Amino acid sequence: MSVATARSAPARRESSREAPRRERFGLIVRQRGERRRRVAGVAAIAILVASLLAVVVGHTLLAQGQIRLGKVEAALTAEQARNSATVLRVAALETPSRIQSEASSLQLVQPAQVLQLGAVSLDVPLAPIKVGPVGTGGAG
Amino acid sequence: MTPPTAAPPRRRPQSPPRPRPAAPRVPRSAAPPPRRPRPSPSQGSGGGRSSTALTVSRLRFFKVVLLLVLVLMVLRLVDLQVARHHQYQHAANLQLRQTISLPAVRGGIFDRNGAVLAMSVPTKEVIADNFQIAHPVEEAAALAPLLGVPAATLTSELQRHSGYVVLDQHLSTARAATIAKDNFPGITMVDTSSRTVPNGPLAQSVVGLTNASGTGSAGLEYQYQHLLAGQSGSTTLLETPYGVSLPQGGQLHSTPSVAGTGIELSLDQPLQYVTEQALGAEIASTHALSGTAIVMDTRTGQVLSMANLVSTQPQSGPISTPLASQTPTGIAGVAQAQNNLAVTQTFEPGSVFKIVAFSAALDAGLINPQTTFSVPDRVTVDTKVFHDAELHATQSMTATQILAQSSNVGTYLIARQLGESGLLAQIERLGFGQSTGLNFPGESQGLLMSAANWEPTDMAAMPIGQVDATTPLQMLDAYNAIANGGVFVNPSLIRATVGSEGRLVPAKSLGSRRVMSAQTAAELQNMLEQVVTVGTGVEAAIPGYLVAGKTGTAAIPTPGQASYVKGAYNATFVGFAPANHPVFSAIVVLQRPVGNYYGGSTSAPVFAKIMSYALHRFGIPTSPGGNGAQVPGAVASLVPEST
Repeated sequence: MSVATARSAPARRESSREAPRRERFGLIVRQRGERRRRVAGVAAIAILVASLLAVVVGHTLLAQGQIRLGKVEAALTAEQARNSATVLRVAALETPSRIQSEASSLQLVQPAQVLQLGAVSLDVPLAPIKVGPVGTGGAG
Repeated sequence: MTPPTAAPPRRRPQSPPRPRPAAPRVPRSAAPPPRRPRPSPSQGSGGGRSSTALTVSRLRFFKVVLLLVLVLMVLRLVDLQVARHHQYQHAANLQLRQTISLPAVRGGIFDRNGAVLAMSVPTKEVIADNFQIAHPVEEAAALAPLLGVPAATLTSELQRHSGYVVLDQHLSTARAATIAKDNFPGITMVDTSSRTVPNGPLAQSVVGLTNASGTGSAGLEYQYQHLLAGQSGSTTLLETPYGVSLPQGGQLHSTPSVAGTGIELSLDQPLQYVTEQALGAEIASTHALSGTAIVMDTRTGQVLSMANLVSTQPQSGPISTPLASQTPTGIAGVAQAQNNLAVTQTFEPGSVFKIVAFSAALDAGLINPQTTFSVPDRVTVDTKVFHDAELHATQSMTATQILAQSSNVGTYLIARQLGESGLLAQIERLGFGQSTGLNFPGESQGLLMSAANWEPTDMAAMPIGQVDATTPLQMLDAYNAIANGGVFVNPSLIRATVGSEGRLVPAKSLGSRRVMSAQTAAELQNMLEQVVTVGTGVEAAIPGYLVAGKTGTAAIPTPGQASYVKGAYNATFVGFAPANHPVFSAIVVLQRPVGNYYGGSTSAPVFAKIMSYALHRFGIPTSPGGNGAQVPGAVASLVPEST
């Protein structure tokens, strides 16, 4: 009992002396670990926030794109309708009945008879024009 | 995440050191101490310690309860958001989702040069939900000029409280845009389209009509409904029950509509107009019940014009007038026929049918153009008397003269050589009694006498066109075969289909077949040319061109009786030009003209007008020595008199 007591007493004293030092070292070690974890945590939160922000921005851009697309589609539809209306207006202007009424208002009349010139065969060459001596040509 | 035990190390030294209770150390393996009795209010400081422990235990209890509640909530959330997500999403969508039909723009109908005959223009249908309109008077006053409706009328419409009032079925997109910009409460607009025919009634019986819902109901509009209609689309949107679009919803699902395929007809718009004008003028002047005229491209069988007109003047007698369209033609007393009479109405053709006997006899070598016959003015067949139009003594006539003078008795004499079978075979060969291949709605194949019902008198009546009934187009087809050197070409109305991008896809050729030898066709061309030069069809002559054709004046049967209506005739002229090199063939049929009823004097002049315009319009060269011995005069008239 006494030997054990004698041996354990200085050891206890020694351990009680080193305890604060160990605590101090432990604190430093713990602080470093905590800082690392905190940095990692902050970084994770930052990445999470950034990702969410990116998703939101992406959705916003997508929505804006859809709106723009919708506007383009609406403009396209409007232009197509305008084109159809223009084609129709042109068609109405070139109807034979309108042309005839316009012609009538301009005092134009249909010919009583249309006479077609007779067909001339191109296989037979035309007779050459007779040209008289210089100075013999008459006026007009 | 920072663990909850890791408090900031800097704060620890700043906090005052808390005295720790000097509790005796208990070995871990020891049993837990007995629970302390609840302190009574009389207890001193020792009672405070036990109340703290109680508070801690209560807090723990509430923590557990809260945790359980949270777990339950999370479980419920998982149930709602994950397990039964689709079910609830579907239920929500049913309440908010609106599916709107996107009507397809109907394909257009164009003539052979791309001129519009019928076309659909996008419009908007304006609908008012007047439960949502708080100030109907003010809104009506603002809308009235845009809709072109009197404000008072519009006010009463908006005050009907029906929830669904159509204010305009076909509002132009330009005006609709103005209304949309002003954002009138309770006003919605739906995409529609309106069918427009810029030419009015031109070729209406061919082009056809669409009904109120935009579906083809007659003519080519009906026949090609599957092509013209296109395919409706749909779009699904999220909307509130009040019809307000939810911005976050956007467009969920959209199937775009597919525009209909247009069709390009073989019709030529100006020629169609001239055909209708010439035919209409003749109907008006002869008081005919109706009239049909067709012009065809000889080589291809394409129909260049097809006019069907009826008189709107009331007529007495047993023959009913074909149904008239309500659209005016611009000619007094004449309207467009509701039906395409050229293919739906049959008639006994009369003398124009004589080419059946002549072509068969020529093809069989029984006759040639110069074969002579002794022709009396009448002949009795099985107790029935058949006679020529004019009385004459028995005379010697060549086959050409018989055709040129349209002798009924002479034709009988030729047909008798053919016999019943020869006649019936040639009728079938020339396409009578069969579909023309157009497959036009309501198309008739004609009415033919079969061998089983053959009667002796048919040998005389059939060759002169008083037994079988044909459509005008069938008759033109037969003459077109002669013009085409003996090759029968199926007629066609469609040249091509027009895709939504304007791409043309040519229609398939309907085929052709030889129905007589080229020599027979050439001989018939010369014989038919004599009809116009010296025969019954001189009024079909066109200065500068050789014209071939045949007149026909046929008695009209009494409906339901085995007799003919007295004094009622169908006047016909069918032919082609230039006879030396046929390019166009045409037929003009007038149903029961009054007074002057001969085909040679009523239909032939109409034929000349139409054919003359066609020849000039398409720049067809004149015929050397054409029926216009007038040609030199024509040249002279073009030279100024002063020279």
